[in-house]
Amino acid sequence: MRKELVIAKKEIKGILLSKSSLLFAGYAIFFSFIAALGIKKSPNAINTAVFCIPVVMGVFFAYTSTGKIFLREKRDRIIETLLCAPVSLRKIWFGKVLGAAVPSYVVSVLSAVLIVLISGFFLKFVIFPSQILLLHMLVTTPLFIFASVGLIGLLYLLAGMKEVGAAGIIIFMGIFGALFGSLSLTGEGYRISLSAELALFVASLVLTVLTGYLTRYLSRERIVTTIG
Amino acid sequence: MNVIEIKNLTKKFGDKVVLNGINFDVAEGEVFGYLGPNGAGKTTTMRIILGLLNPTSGEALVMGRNLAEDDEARGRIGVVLENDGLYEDQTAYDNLDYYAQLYDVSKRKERIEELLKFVGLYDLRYEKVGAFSKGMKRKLAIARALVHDPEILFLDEPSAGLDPEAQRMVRELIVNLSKESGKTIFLNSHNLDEVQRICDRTAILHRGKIVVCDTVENLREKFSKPVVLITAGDKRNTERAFEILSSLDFVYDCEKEGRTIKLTLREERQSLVKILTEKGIEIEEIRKERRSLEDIYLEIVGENGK
Repeated sequence: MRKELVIAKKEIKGILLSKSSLLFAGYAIFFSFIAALGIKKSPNAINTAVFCIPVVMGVFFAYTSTGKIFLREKRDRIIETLLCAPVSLRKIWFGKVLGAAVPSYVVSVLSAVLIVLISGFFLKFVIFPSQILLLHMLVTTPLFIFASVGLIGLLYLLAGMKEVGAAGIIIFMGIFGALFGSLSLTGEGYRISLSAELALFVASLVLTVLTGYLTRYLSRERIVTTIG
Repeated sequence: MNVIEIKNLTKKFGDKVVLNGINFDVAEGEVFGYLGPNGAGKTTTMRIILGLLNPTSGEALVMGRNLAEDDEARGRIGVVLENDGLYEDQTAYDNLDYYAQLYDVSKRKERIEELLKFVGLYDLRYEKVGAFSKGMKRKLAIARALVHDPEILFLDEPSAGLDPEAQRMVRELIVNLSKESGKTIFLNSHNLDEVQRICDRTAILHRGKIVVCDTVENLREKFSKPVVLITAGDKRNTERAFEILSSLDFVYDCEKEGRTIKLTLREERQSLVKILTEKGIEIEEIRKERRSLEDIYLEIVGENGK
């Protein structure tokens, strides 16, 4: 198996067996329930709910997972041993990003499915979101989550332990800023316009490219000297 | 054949010079002890060798290759750093399995079980590592470092923080590895007793410089003033011998305790027995004292610290 996949598999297993997964499953049910109550009054609101809640849930879960995968491993100096393994630094980073992004996307999809199912239960019939939202869930959301995890993970590897907390929050705020900025492009009657979806897709793409570019600054020395 | 070559290695952090042009080699199959007080630069040296830090100048080669740039070469070494590098929320088996996959180990299950038996943790293989004692964790870390059967093993303070029984177990494990599988072992330590017991050769690092690099036996010869213990026949002979020996110009120091006189000589002399017997002194026993590595180390570090 490719080494980045070995790393990703180990991280995914660790995340799925952690207590935070259970907690987030609870959050997903709770927020989907709240959203479904709103959808019961205005069925079109399902579009805004599916546009926004799954990404928020996914990114928030990713933020928590990234802290465990990157930050805790660095703080506890476990990463030094991993850095001695015959795996390139980019593969280690990519494997860990994949390891955090996949469960986060699962949380995101779970939220979307729950919103549709719970609102269907209240309305006695199931409303499916628009085709744009299908694109949103299949392309933009995983890309946005991957880019967010990648950037936060990179920051955790490169920054000193003191700076990392504040910088993580700034990036986290930036990510939500981008998300809600694109939400402001939402059309009337809770309709998600193509421009809103495209705006978020472009933001995700730019974030992914930027993160990919920044990985050239990864260095073992930088990681080791910023521990503690 | 030298498998580790350190050439004019210098490392600076800002203006602070941590390593100042150090040189040494480690031969294949050798157990090499890298000694020095805390802050001397031992861990920095090991990190540079492992490719975790870049040297300011000079080079550190392992099997002729720079580990910082060579993934394949890193696959031929095993490491146990000061932190065990274990995932405490995973089982002992899973910890080894993860690294076995990263090192492309074939027949993983057999290899992992063999190693867990070797370090005596087979019965606890499905227990989470977080519940292990420090000694058990260290043994598991050694098993992890061996999972791909490396040619060279790097150990950073392997017995630090362990109780005496665990220290003994880890030491025996290292000796077994060296004797039975002939692995080259690079041992970072400030435990002089450990280095004295298990290392073929040792280098002493002090304030960023290699002060000495030799076998423990050679260090004894080169760096310690000869010490001779003389036990006289009775109290009267002891008094007279003490008087005579104290007046000799090649005697650096002379101490008396009961019937035993401890002489520290400026240089090796064979004539002590002759001098005393010619004066009619009865000698019950005369022997050369073997100085410990600790005595030598303190002497060397002390001299260089002045």
